[in-house]
Amino acid sequence: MGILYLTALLLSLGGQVLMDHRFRLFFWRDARAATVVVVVGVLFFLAWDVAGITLGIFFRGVTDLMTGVLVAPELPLEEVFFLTLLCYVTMNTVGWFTRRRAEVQA
Amino acid sequence: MTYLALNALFFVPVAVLALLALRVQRRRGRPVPWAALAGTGLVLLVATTVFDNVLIALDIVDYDHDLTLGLRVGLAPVEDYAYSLAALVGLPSLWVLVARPATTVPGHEGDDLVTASQ
Repeated sequence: MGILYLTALLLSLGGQVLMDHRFRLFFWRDARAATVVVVVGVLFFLAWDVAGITLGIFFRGVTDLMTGVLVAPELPLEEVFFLTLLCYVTMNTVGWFTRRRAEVQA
Repeated sequence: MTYLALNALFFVPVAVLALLALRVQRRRGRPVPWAALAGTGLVLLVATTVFDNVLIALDIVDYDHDLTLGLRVGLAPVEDYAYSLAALVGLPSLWVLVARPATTVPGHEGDDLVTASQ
């Protein structure tokens, strides 16, 4: 039970990778830029999380669906993967709506 | 500090990034993909509502509701949507600033890859 949430996140991330690869949405469009966007994005959201936790606004709940591994006080390891998924889904979706239409070149 | 105030604070760099990206796009003579952003916004709205409610229902996250507005969509505090909005506005903006220019034109993504193979 402890790895259920993490497993769900990893499966979702795997799905995003497949979509990205299949339709050249994000990393398969510009790997360097995608790396920058995800790394900066995740770090930014983690900072936001830490601020919220420090201010006592939110905190992790009591559940056996998580591993219990923390990367910072009240900040579960799973959150890093969740934020990565948030960034990946956002950019894959933008990529989907801006993908090159198959067209016949004259 | 309330959840709302915290989110407003973190939105400042996001807004700055967006303004920078708008200027760069304009300077390159490229259109802003408004439809794509609106579509993505809709997807994120639905996804956020679903996963946030699930996370809260499963006790994966909890809040001090003295610091929230008390306005919710199901179990989800409305303030939670700020993360998705920040992602929607901030990430594509950063992409515009760091990606190779050819990859930011809607409908012509991968153009440079195509011409390189010809």
